[in-house]
Amino acid sequence: MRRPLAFRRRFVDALLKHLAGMGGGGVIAIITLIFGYLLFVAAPAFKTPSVTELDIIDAQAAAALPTNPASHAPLQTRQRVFGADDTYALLDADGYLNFFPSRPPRDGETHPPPPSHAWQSSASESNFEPKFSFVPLIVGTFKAAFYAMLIAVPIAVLGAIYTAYFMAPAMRRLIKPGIEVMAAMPTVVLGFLAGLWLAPLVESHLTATLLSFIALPASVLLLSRLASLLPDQYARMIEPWLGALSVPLIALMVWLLFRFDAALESLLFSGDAQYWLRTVLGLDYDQRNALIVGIAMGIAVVPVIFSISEDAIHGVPRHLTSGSLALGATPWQTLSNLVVPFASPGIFSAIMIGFGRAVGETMIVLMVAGNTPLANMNLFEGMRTFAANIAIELPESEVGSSHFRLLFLSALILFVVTFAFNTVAEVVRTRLRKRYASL
Amino acid sequence: MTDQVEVAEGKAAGWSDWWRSGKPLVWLNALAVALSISAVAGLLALLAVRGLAHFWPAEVLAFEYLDQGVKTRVVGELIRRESPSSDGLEAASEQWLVKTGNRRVNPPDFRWYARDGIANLRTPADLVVVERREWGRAYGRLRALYEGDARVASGERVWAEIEARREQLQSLRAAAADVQSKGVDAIDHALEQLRIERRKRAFDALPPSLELVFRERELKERSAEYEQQLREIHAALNRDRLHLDTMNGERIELPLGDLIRIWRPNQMSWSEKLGHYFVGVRLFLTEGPREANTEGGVFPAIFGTSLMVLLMSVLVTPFGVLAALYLHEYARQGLLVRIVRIAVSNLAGVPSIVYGVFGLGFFVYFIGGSIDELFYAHARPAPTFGTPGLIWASFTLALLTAPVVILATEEGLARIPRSIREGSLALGATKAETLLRVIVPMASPAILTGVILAVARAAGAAAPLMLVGVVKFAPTLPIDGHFPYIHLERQFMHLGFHIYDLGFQSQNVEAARPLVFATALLLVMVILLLNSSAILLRSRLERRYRSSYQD
Amino acid sequence: MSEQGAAEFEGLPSSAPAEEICLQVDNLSLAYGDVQALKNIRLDIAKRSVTAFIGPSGCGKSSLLRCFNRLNDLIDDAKLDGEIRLGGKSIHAPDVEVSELRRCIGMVFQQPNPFPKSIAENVAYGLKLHGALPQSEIDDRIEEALRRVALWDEVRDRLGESAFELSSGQQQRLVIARAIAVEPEVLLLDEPASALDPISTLRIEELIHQLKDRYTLIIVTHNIQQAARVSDYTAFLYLGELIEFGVTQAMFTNPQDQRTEDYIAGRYG
Ligand SMILES: Nc1ncnc2c1ncn2[C@@H]1O[C@H](COP(=O)(O)OP(=O)(O)O)[C@@H](O)[C@H]1O
Ligand SMILES: [Mg+2]
Repeated sequence: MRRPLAFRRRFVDALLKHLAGMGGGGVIAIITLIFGYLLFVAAPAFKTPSVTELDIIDAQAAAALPTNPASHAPLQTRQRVFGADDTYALLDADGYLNFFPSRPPRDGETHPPPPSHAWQSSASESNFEPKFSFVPLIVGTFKAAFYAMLIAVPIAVLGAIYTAYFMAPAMRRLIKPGIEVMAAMPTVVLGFLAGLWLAPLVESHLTATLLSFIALPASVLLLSRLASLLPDQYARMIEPWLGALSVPLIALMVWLLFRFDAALESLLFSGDAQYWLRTVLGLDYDQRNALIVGIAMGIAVVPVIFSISEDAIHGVPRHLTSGSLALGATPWQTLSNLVVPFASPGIFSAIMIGFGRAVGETMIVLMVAGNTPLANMNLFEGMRTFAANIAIELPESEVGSSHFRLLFLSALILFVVTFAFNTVAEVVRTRLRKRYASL
Repeated sequence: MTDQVEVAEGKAAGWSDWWRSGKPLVWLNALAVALSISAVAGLLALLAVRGLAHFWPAEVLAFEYLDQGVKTRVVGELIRRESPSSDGLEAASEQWLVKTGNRRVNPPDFRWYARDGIANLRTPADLVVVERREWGRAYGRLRALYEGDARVASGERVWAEIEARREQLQSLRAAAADVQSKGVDAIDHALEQLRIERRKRAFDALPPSLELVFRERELKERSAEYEQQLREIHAALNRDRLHLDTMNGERIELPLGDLIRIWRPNQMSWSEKLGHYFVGVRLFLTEGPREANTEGGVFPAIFGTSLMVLLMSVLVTPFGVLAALYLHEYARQGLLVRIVRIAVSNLAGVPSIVYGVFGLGFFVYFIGGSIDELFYAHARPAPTFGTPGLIWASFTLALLTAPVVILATEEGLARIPRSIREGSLALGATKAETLLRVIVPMASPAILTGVILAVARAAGAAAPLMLVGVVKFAPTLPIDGHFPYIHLERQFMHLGFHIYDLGFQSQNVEAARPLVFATALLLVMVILLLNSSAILLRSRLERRYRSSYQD
Repeated sequence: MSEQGAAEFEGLPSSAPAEEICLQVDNLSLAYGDVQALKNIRLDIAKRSVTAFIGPSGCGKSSLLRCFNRLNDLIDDAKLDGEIRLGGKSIHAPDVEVSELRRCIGMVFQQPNPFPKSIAENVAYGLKLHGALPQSEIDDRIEEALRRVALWDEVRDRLGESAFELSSGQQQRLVIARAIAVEPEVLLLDEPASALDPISTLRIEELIHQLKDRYTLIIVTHNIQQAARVSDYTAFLYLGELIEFGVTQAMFTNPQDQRTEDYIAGRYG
């Protein structure tokens, strides 16, 4: 037993150990490298100016702003000022980060221009001043993610509850992979279908689209009421198969609504839904708008949320639920009082991960959102998100310019935001896994 | 749970009983599932129908159109009908979008017609559709075939004459391609090498060597020879010219060398149509794009995607497997492993565009730029590696897909019972021997599953790629016959980006539309195929372990 | 570690075997984190004999067995005190090569654990690790090992088939063949028959009898009758302590400790 190991065996053993260590370390190294490199490129945009610089800029800005009624609240004296070689950024009293080119005042001006809360990186005029405020991009990113979640969360979570708890096992074995296949659908395909097919369809059938959001749940509730008049044993028999039985209902309802769109439109909106929106609600309508983004990106994140929540709900130990059922609670009471609260960390982390996806999704917004940097939450207008903005502008941006650095900064913001969401989700999930394991 | 007997519940007769029973909410939950299923099925059906229909030889219509008293004659394919939009106008007519082709003599090639103005609608049997190298499709009647200035056939007989020349045309085209690749391209490549040589010498402040000058001169002479040959072949190809009459009496003159396909859809039998269909599919898969991507095929995109995915797999597989080995086999389960795990899940959650930005900044500008500075100083300022290209795209996507491989491998490792590891160690194997000879081979189906999923993800990832190497049109493939055969620095085409480009950057949206659907269908089919094979592999794996180790 | 010399046999709970000693366990304690699995075990194991470890479930039999080939090294929080000597030399000495030690001390587990390879490859696995042998030599050794476990006649025509094709009794014998193919001195068997049917169990017991003339065997068993049938010496462990150790015959007829008597009488279940 004291015969030394052949050199080759010892060498391979040590080599694999170190390679594996490097593989594990590599993961951390990559994360650190991405963060570090983005920060390294973006950092000059954050360069803290010397005290005098700061004073000058601050003083100038403070003096300049009150004179401009269009600008936001005047700067306070103690504010953070970021300077770059040819850009500086102000965090104004509203908490907005504003970037503007730093240049000597022009003739007739005594101060640099005030913040405008606009993103305008290029234009045709020669004396054009780029405007680099993140406000419209932040609003746009949030808006896209918000509407997507508004559509995805109910569908995914309710669907997961039904699939995990009520559905017939034979059907579940088919449905679950079926919906998960959706997660593999490239977003560029979803984006192209939404932009080229759905957007014109919704534009010409706006009434039907909006009505579907009400009519589908309403018709299902109505059917459920009818079914409740059936003898109990029939009602119980169809319940596990409802998931499939509702498909024709959806098809029928959607077909009816779109078939009679014109009639409904003249009935509800006196003939022109867009005109009605504009005149009555004061909302503009773009063909590529947040509604389409919500639907397309909703479809993209549904499988993510669905899959994780379904796992969480399905993993709730049987003995817990059978205990509750034995005490005389109905399945629905058991579900809402026991199962869902128990699985809620899993559902929560699913939603976090889904939100992270929606915030960073590029192709769908690029193709569907119209990409105008507007800062509003109007459902019928488009937006420009950080991700789409990067995809549009980075290939054309001059390396090392402020514009280039700000695009890296926006990538860094996306990275940090999704990092935070994913870390929270992962921590919550680990806890949940432990909880299941201990039962 | 579902078959639980509800004792307490009577018949839900009243509305409030009904609501309190929770049943309506169950129905709503079922609706959510049904919506998801409908979305999946609907999307796939839409893609399948629209993507597959493109290759079918549609009937060519001929009709007279009366618009404000002016009568025109129209020939073309009906693309779609649109019912009158509900903008309040009473009794608006249905609108027809017709592809009228003949873009050169009579643009545009897509037009809207009101159904009310259409009269005398027919499908004449003698109408032909011509697919040609330039200017999109032509529609019309065969008029004559000229050989030089001599008219060899006219009217109905032209068709037979074209058929007779088919083989000759094919061999001429093959000859042209041969001279192009073996002659012209090879000499261009050699000349380019000499030019670089010259620049290198200039960079070192040396005059070009005599040998270099002589070689250059010789190559130029040979190049002229080849070009002469090529000119002759092209002259032979273009000797025969086809004359078509359009509906409005214009004449289209078409050298046979430009002709790709010609067919008479209105007199084709079903089997002929089917044959035409499959030839269309084949051309789509094997040909390059034409006319700013609105015509032709997607072969370079398929090729580029495959090559990039292959390189990426070569990079990501060892890394992913090693990281998984670390996590599952080597690391002490402590804080460090928890951090690595969080890092993996974060890596999976970072938006793909962020990888693109990182890849562009770090790989392309930083690493690529450094390589240029060190090894390609003579070529500067033109970048060689300091510009988006195949290799950087592969690196970027390897980072993007690493978590997929890591997680799948770890799952596979976790399924191998501990007694297998101990059995090997107890025989005196070292840890590395245990892993390499027993454990990794046992986990290989799981690793394969991970790689397949990674490949599927990479095949559809468009956002990061548009920053690090994908272009809408690449004049050359990244693999060719010149040393070093694989040109890692070249830009390439990618199916995912091709869809974006066709759908949203195209000048001629209507012309591009069927191709986008076809390309999207192709991509989705490839991805579904990859994913289902991964799922199958995984379930087979589960079954195998279950049967061989009953714990 | 512990003191050496003449005193080392004094603490034994029962008389030490008279024959040549193969393994010495000296004041061994083992803890998994806070769980104390073994406490101050002292025990000598005679060469070319069968020693059985018996005791109720969780008493530390497997843990003790896994100390001999240092398989507990794999467990992160396992902490070992005391010493084990093989042929008079500590197995924890810094110059000991663990994989060489494990070659000398083979092990068979409760569940048959063949590798997903062919029958021949399973047997050859250990051989190929420990040095390059010509293929004919390997073939001979495979045959010899398989003959020794009485499996040769059953599998000679299907050596290339997957080991999973065998029944679990055959798999267990294959695993034993795999272990003896590398010519160990000691063979550790951790409940080798508990997952098998009675006929397979019988064959394993016969096999143990036959292997005794070449190897030192240590077998963990739950089954008291089995211990009585196959072993020369028996050690009874209880709650991590070695309660009694001696010649099997003597211990089963005349246990010294009340707990041993209770256990043999089946009063612990
Ligand atoms: N890997 C381990 N980690 C922690 N405790 C363990 C481990 N293995 C065994 N133990 C504990 O050590 C004690 C002895 O276990 P073991 O040797 O397997 O018992 P036996 O084989 O006699 O049934 C038990 O209390 C068991 O819970
Ligand atoms: Mg045990």
